[in-house]
Amino acid sequence: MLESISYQQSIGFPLLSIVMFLPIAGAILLLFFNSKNHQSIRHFAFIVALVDFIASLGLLLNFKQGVAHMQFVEKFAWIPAIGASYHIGVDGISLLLVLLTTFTGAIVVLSTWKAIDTQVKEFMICILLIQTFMMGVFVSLDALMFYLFFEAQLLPMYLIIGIWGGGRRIYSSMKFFIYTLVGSLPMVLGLLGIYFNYHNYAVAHNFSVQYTFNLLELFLVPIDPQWQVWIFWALFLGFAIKVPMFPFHTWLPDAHTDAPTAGSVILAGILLKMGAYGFVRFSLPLLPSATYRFAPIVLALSVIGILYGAWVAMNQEDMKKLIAYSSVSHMGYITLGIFAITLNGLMGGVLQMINHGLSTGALFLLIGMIYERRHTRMIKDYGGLFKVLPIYTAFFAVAMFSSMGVPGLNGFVGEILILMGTYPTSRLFTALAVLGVLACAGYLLWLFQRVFLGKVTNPKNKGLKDLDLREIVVLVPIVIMMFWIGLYPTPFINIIKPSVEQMLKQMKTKPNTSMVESYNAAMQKPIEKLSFHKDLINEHRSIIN
Amino acid sequence: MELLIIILLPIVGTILICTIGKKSKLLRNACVLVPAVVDFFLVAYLAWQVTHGGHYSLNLVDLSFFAIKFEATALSVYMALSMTFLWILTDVYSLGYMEHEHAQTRYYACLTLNITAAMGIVFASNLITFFIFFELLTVAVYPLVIHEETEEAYRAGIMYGVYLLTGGAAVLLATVILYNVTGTMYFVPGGIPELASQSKTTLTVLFILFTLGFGFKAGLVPFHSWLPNAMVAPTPISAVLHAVAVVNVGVFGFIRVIYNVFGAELYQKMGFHHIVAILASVTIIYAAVMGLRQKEIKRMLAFSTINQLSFMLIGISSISMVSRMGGFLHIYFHAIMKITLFYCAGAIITQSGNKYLDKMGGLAKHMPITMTCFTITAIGIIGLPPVCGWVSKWYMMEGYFAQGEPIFPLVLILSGIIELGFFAPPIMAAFFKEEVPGSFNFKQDTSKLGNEAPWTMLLPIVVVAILAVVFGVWGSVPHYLVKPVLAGLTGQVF
Repeated sequence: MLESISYQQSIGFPLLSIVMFLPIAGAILLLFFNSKNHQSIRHFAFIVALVDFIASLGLLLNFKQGVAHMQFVEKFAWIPAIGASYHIGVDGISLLLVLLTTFTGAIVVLSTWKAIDTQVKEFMICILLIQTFMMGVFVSLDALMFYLFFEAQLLPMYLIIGIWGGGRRIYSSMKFFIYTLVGSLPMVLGLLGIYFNYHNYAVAHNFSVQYTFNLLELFLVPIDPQWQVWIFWALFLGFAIKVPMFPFHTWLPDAHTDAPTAGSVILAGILLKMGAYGFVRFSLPLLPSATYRFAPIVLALSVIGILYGAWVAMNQEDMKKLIAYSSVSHMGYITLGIFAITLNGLMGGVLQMINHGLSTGALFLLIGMIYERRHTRMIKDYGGLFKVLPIYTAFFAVAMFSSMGVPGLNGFVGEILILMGTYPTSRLFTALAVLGVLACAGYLLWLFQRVFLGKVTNPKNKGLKDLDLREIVVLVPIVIMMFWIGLYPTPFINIIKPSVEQMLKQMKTKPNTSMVESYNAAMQKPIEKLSFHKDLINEHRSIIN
Repeated sequence: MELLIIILLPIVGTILICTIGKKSKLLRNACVLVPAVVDFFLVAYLAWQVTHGGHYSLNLVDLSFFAIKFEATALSVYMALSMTFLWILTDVYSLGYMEHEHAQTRYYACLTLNITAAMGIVFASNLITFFIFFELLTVAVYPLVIHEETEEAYRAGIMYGVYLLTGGAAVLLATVILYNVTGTMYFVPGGIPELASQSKTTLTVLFILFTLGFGFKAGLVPFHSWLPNAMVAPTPISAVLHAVAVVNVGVFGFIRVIYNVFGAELYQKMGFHHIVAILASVTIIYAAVMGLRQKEIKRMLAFSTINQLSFMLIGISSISMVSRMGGFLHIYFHAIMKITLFYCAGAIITQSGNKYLDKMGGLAKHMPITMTCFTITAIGIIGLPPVCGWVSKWYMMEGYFAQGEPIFPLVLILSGIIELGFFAPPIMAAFFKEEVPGSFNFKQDTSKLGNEAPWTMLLPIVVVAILAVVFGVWGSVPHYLVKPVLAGLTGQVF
């Protein structure tokens, strides 16, 4: 993670920046569209999202596997006085999340064809903006930039829920906004704590650079264990609310229920991952001693979240709310895997972020599709849908099985990795998490039975139309990905593994001997542009020697 | 390559069945039959090759924690051979049985998909692969259990799901623990060596989890109640899945755990074989007594299945090679006999409209062939010569007597007597008693066979009934079939 290779080494042009800013450019162009011409706005937004996805595939193709360092790095001075810079790059952990973002983006735009017919232009602008902001979070290598993007996505999401939502949309959007904002204030303090810790260290050791937000440099400076405690909890609050972890989850069901389908998909698919990503990118490598110290608490909260989420999901009558609570439960697995601090657990956590994005995203899409037809999400209004909508039922079953973690689909691979990774850390929590798997099967199968099986009890359901071509096109790519990850996860693991391994090494050997070793190794193979300064390296060399 | 075809062909068949649907019955029936037939011949070919020193394996995914790998061992081809053969017969039988049923596409699609599940389980070379197909089997059988779509069927479906998914979760947890303490989850002949150095607690926890996991599928008391309730499924499903595939997979799981995970030695050192044998004995007696109290023919057969499955468990967890041989043989013989009984039950229920045991009087006059086959195999289930059940029972008892534990043979004998108690009255009634008016509701003579079922149903019945007798009198069969399996599992030749 320490070394980074700039884009010049891999490809000749700033692909990552293009992928990141293409949606925002599209949003700006959308401003010039006639807002009454809905169809052309939709087409244009879809083309932008699709091109963005294709461009992000370029990242995947040019990504060098088997190495842990940051790739496609771009760095320009931004506010030199405080050491902030425009600094982006991806490693194995963030690459998949970027791909998930562009993938979901294209699908979401296509799924809103019929669902959104008021203020289409504004809606598409919001969606495209949020795309850029979310990718910004995943690729930022500068702590300040990370924070800015982390906050920036609040606004479009707030608008999406507040304007295009249903039910108590104003209440829900405010709740979402306030919760996240409350979380991010201590997060700022935490990031500043890290920033000034570096400053003090630099002054004490007479570095030439005294201020920096550069994550790669911040990684190198040890933080006093006492300090780590405070910073850990400050960051924890911000990330845990975003995930959301029990007991900070209450904003999620409201936001999901009242958001439009596209909002729910983005929320469940990607926004929640930002919290988990924050843990992986900041808490673990920067604050290893505090992480080890408090991991049991976080693990316990995760398991409570898993079981509590499942329990509450079982009692829901609104399908969307049920899936929202299942999200609380499933995100618990992700934090469980991350804070098990083992190779398998972390790989599982990162992979499960992708899996959860796919399966829950698909479920929300499907519920949105039936809502467009019947304008109700209550389970009791349905029954026997299999007879009326066989294709829809088939897709729902696959998404549900993926969410349940049925072997052969993606959820299982992530789940088994997490369970295997958690076992060495805590046997009790592993056993409880398995119970959660069971509970999940319980509420999802029950939902399936009530909605799809039996006789068509409600005459209003009799004339429903099955999925049309556009809807099938929306769902098929997700299903393909589910089977791909479920049956042949090797390429995904190959991408994730080196970065996770490197990070674990970095956690275990503070102060950073391994990083300097890997730096030395890198120096023998001349890499031209390394993005941190010589003082730190010399400092750490003296620690080793 | 052969393995890949065996696993993939039924999936292709399933997809084709779904796409063809109701458009062409002929084409669909072809898609039902071809995968089963091709799989059977491929398995037979593999069986020939493997017993003559051939080696077949297939690696699809190879990560340390997640590997999808298959291997053809003597044990896997042994299991696969009986399954695929009986699957062909069941497919043929279904063609007749399902003629006028609803949701045929779903039925045939799931039935064919289950071939993949079963083949995946028997050919899996590690626990993860095993688990994947184990859960696939659970999931793909569910639509078949609720086939009737009645309240009763849904209730049975829920019970089935809850029970078997709980078992699956136990197996999952056991796999996780095993991987973490030994670093491997591959099936090793003679057991995973790293397990020998583990603490007693770890081993006991693993044993409990595995027993729980496979106990559900193998119908061990008190995890059995899903099985009689799942009899609401169409009869061919009860036959092939609840007498052959699903429940035998439970037994197969025990075999894998005993011989390829713990290893027979460690298993005995820890005294686990006694626990399994005692659990199985309790199951045998309990299920036999419960069988006496049943009024419906299929529920009675379900309890008989629960009872017979525990015979196998007693056999395979024994120390003595002879008893083990009996246990392994019983997997085959029971499958053949029980599937005949279910086929007959299905024929009786569809033709005469009667599913109650106490209304069987005079049935043999209407359905002589069916009742004869029923009687022959009932004799076998009870354990009397010359039908094959006695051979396996004999071996089991001989082994236990030789090792000085006569209690288990006594259990087997007692169970045989009780079973005589519930098979004899309906059979006697059918042959020798007068018909009670109104107990049957035959349709008007439609076939040349009188009131017998159509030939698609009758043919499988006759074939398996004949097989049951052939295996009962042809003495060298057990040696020919089971010896390579046991040699491969334990490394001992006897």
